[in-house]
Amino acid sequence: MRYYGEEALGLVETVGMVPAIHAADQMLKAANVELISYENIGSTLVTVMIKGDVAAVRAAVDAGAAAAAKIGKLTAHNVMPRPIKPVGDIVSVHDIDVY
Amino acid sequence: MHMANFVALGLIETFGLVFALEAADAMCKAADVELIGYENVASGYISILVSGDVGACQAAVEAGVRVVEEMGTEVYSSVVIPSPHPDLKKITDRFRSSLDGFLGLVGVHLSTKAVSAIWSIVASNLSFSIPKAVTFL
Repeated sequence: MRYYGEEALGLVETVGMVPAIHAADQMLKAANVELISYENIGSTLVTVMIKGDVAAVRAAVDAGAAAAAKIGKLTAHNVMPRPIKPVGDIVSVHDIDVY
Repeated sequence: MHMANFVALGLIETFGLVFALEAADAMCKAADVELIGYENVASGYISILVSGDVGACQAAVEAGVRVVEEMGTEVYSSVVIPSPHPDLKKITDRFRSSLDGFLGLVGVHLSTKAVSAIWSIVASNLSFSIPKAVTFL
């Protein structure tokens, strides 16, 4: 889903893919949010990004971060309620809907 | 092999290809699951993704973890997702394409011979030589 920065952005970053997948699953189930991207750039860190309204993104990131921390190493999680548009462009480089 | 219910997901992540392949082999032999993905995050950790019904994924992940621990290493992370969110498919479908390139030669159920064949292919493609001791598969 192309993200333009118009909605809140949630990010969860882990070491390795397994905690990231589990976090993504929990985030999507926790609240009404949409998956923007899954980023594995070969740096050992995997980042999952979601968007939605602020409250939903907050709830989802909390759930996702907790889930990831339980089964692996969580390195970072964040909610950006209203990022600037260039952030949206950066995030969309790894847009999950673009092959 | 193509079961009606590929709903649940099982994942194992461990350090190094040797252990990951052994885990993948054990997982597929232990239960009726399909190997649908492989991911290399370039940290040394390799992840293996299987799909099947919940009980099968559970049994497969347990078998995979057990086999790696028997080899003397700890699994970094493992999880069974009984009912994945539909959007998760967008992520897991990407692993399928990387898997096709990596394991396109062999069938879903890896035999020990297949694993050692894969390992020798991988070893021959690496730029440094693998010590003989490591190729015990």
